[in-house]
Amino acid sequence: MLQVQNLSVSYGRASALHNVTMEVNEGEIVAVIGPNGAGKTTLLKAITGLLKAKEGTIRYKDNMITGTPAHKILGVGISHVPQGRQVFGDQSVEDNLILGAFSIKKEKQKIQELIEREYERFPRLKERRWQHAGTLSGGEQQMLAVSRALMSDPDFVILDEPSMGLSPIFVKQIFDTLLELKKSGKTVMVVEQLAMAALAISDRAYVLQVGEVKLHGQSQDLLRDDGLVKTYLGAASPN
Amino acid sequence: MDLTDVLKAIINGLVYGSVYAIIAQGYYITFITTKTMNFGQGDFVMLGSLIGLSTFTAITAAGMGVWIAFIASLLLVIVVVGISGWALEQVAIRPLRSWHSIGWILSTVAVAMIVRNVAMLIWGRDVLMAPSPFGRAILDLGILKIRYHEIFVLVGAAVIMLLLYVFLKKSLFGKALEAVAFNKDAASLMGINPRLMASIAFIIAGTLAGVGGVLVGPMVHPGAFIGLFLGLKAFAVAIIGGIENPRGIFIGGLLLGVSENLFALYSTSMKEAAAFFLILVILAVLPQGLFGKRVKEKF
Repeated sequence: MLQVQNLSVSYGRASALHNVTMEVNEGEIVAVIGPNGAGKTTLLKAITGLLKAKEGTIRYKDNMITGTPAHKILGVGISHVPQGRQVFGDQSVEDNLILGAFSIKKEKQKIQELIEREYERFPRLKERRWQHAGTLSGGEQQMLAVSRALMSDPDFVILDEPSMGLSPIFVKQIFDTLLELKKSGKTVMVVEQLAMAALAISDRAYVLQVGEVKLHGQSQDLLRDDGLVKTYLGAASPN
Repeated sequence: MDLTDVLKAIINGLVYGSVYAIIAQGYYITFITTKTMNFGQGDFVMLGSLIGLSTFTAITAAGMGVWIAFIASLLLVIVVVGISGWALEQVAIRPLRSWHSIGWILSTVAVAMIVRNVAMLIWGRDVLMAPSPFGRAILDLGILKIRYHEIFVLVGAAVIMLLLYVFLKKSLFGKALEAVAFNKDAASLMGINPRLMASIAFIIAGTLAGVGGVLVGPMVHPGAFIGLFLGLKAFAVAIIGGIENPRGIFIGGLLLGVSENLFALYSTSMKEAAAFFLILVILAVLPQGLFGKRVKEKF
């Protein structure tokens, strides 16, 4: 479904991503794990057009999407939940959801249905629907960020460290949501620092280190590989 | 000085203040979406009042009614100054933004100078008389006499600001503008095009300047040089009210208008100092402006 080939990205003269090749198949959950500064966020930003690729190609469903600007990526069916949630703090929870459906703005009825669907997914958001998003707790903001990204009914969802700064209960809830998305036929790509938790819910995984893919394979196999943690993720992985 | 003078000064202040507020909303709307603004906003006001004046005169000279003339001149001003706002963003702001510089300040001042000098070539150096669709008709309330045009300006400005406020807070488009202001990257991931939003913000700012010019024209004897003081006062209003708060700007505008007219009761030369006196006092006590935004982001 998504093919990234020989992708390189740099910030000025500093190379952030070097010759990365990876793919995500329809219906999978694919995890990208690796330590801080490995280039995980850079990879996602390059896919969704927030950063320019220096070299390489990105292909989605047989369309070349290299260089497509971020505001057109939703149109091809990819939705990106950015790192640190980035909800619109000055606007209400419901307005955040409405903005998530900006690309389908003409169908009022449809938008109302989608909002109700998201409130069912996260009842907490319904309780807080008129509150400014900036006043929510971190976990609630993450729920909102996920729901907002699902408002356009994307086929492919990309999440950047959804567990960041959350308590274990919220982390479990978000990861359960990813499994539900997979069950409903969506394809998921998730970047995580909680490597073990990400491996536990994903089908396949890529291990990124200093901008390069060091290892990839079935998540189950990677989980059983004792060397993985020590070599690439540092011994003290929290999970 | 008696009570009538004070009352008259207050009414006058509210009329002028509401015009300052409309112009200042233009600073607000481009500032929240792009963190830039047009330092030549005042000269766009001047352009609006002179184009409005010429169109109005031409149409009434052709024998058509004053209201047809007024509406036609308003529409023409909205189109011309709105497009000027769009062009300004394309030419003077967009190319300079990626530099992380404040170059756009000087480039908008440069555009303002060009506009001012072109206006001088077309309309000359003298001040002109701008007729109002109400003529010089006066509402006589016994102790108080108000020109109908002033009432019209007061009501018109209030309606414009109400429409703008509803547009920004209730329409999807306004929500998208605000989203871009809050977080450009996150907004673009929603399918919102930040560049398009920047263009729209500058078109709205230009339109507000133009409409402000048409309204203020019959009250000030317009000429090529009026932009400087109108722009400066509107800027003062934006700072006083808190540049990110449209309601604050409205109240700030009225406050400045009233206080400068009250100052003028003592001495006309004090009138121009009122704006800066007010800024000094308010910023000394409330550095965010009267209604400045509190930071409430969560990490």
